[in-house]
Amino acid sequence: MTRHTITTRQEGRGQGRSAAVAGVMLGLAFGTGLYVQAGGGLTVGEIPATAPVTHGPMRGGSPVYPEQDIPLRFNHGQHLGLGLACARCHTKIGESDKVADFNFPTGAVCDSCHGPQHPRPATEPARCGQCHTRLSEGRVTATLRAPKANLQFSHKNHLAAGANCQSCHGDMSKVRMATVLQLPSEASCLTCHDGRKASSRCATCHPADTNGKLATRSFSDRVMPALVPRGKSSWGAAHDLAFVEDHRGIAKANPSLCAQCHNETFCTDCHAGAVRPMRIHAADYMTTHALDARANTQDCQSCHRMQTDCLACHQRLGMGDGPDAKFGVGSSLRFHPIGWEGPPDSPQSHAFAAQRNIATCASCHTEDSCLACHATTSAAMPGLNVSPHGPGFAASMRCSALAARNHRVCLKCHEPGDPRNECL
Amino acid sequence: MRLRHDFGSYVRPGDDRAARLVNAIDGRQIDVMFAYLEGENLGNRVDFKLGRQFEFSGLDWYAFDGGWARVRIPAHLALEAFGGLQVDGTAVFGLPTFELDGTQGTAADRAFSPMFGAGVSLWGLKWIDARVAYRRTFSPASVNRKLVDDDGSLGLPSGVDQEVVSASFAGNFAGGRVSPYGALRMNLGTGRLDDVTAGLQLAFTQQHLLRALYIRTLPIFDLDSIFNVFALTPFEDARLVFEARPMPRISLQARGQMRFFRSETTAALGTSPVKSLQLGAGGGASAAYRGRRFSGRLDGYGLGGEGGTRAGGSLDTRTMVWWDRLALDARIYGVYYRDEVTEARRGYSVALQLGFNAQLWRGIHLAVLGEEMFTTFYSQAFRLFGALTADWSFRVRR
Repeated sequence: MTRHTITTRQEGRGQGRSAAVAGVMLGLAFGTGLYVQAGGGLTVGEIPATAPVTHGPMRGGSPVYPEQDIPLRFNHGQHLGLGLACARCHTKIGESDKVADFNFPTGAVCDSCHGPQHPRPATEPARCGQCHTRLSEGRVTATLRAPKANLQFSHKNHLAAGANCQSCHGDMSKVRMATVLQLPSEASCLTCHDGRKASSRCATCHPADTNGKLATRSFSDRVMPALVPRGKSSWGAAHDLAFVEDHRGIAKANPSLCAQCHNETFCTDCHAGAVRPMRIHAADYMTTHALDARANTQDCQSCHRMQTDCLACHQRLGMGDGPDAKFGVGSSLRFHPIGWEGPPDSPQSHAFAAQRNIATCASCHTEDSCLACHATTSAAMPGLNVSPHGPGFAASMRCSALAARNHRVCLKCHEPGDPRNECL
Repeated sequence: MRLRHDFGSYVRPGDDRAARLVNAIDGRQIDVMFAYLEGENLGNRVDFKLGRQFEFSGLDWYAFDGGWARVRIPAHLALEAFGGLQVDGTAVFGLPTFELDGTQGTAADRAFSPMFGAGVSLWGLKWIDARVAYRRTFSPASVNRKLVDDDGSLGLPSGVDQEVVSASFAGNFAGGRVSPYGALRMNLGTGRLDDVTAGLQLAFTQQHLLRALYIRTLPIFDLDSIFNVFALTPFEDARLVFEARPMPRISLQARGQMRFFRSETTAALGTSPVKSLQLGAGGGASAAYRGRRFSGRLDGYGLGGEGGTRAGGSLDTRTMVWWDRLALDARIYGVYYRDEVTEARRGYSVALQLGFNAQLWRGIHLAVLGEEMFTTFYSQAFRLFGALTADWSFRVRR
């Protein structure tokens, strides 16, 4: 039995164990999720991060106040003009402590002034059209639809803290039918929720998922408008059409802002996950990626490791200077143009490419390629003693900073005892 | 956790150095990407994480096994400390994305790399967020005595793999209309400012937005790598984006981009570049419509200069059906390209994509996407992609 066969069998057993472990762990994850899912909604699923989802279909309304349909005619100003207090109609408002409470006046409350209609005695004529707008043959065909706001809110607590109706809803004396326009805006909330009078934490009002992040969508409703930074409340993170390309700036500058809504999974969906191949690298990217790499259009290193991902594939294709190199010096398939490297009086084009974008070099070459010429002649891997350091490197702060922290790198080009190791 | 396997030719055994690299990547099919215990706002002061975690910030985007803690103190300040083992080639389940780069095949690649860091940040201010942080990753000889170095000696000399300081800030001024932000990182090992990002967002109204972004980077490698020595001139990128929403469901955007590549006369041979400054420029425009069940997005772009020329566009659509649980995706994408280095790489590529994204249950999604492609070099090519995602989270107490 050859060593190769033994190794192959061992690898096979190793892969089998890995698959078994993977299966058990996946089963546990699914099982636990299903168990908790069935047990009372402790968990909330997150939609995989994709660009189409970010800018996908959406229904009307806002992420905070879903679209309402109120097929009624009503005049707040008229009612207030009669001296009626708000609580006369909104009877349960003083005890309402959650946003899911239905605080619209019921028909029975209206009946106290408008006569019995809910239910209507047989002797009483129907006057549905006095308030309801959608009727057919004297019957109401549409009822009020007002989904709960996606907020955490207690009327009771706000009234107890001294607020009144006008504080949040404004002057209703000139308003006919109240719509979402009469619901408080974030700006008006922040006049009190300033971090001193009341908490300014986002999760004070906006619902949070079970993982502690802000719920950017209403559960898994994919056409509910998402709570995304926009305009004046975006802190520089407006999720516009170019945000996928530009998000690195604000992500580095204010990562805690991102972390309020996104967890690690959201990042890895694209950066280390399965979403990117078809979306970011559409069509024949295998052919065109070289252009992007040289132009630095997309930062390859944000997802790919040069010395593994890129190098492995390139060397298998015969690039670089490995044992299977097919595109090197002397080959009819030579990859780099004439003058790329050579004796001292040659154009040395490779030097400038390396200066400005060494990542493209590292995607095909290992350090050995550089050492062949750049190492000093007496080093462990002798080269041609051509210094790649920029002007004034010796005796510079940059040289001493590197030498003091990591002498191993110096020894790759300079043998022990070489004064250049000490920046001399 | 991520399960991973590539059934394509990429994992086919080879007989060269590349094969070893391929096996190094795909021999590990189970990645624990992050797994940590987190506490928030304990005693209204303390946050912590314990376990495998990753941080994205002005410092870097990296993973480590260890602990992180933040204590909020008066005067809107918070103190951070973190430490552990950096996730790199030594970790069984290491994620290649976060591994240090540039030292493939050396003993240092297999070394244990403890790391520690600290930071000071602002908290609780409505108009500014800022942070200064420091991190040091090193491979001490004392914990790497069993490694056989390249020269055959036992044990690895101590060395610092990374030592960086970062500063970042984000502001929110004029009622949110003006939002400047920036981050910079000083690499103490190379003595270079190797990452600078500065942006300014002006939200004139809720419908009109202008963003300017400047990026300056030097490729970063492990300090064990000589590649750091070659990276002399930073790459710079300046971008400008304007977006308007004339109607709630319609967005229009125009953007421009300028990239700067500089070259210096070489110190040793005194060779001068043909051009000391080379430019890349480009721009694009986008329009998007978002309806109740249908959305579409049209993009067009062009890029030229350094690297070559690319011009193309795409049309994306998503249609929701089956009570919004099933999304039907369609996309057509086309690009014309012309490589400035080799004339052989000139042509076009057109791709048609069709797929769906189904919500099977809360937190469980199945995405399938097929692509048919026509290019200068392929009369036809097809690929199919599928992803099953399960995402649940648990919390002891709200």
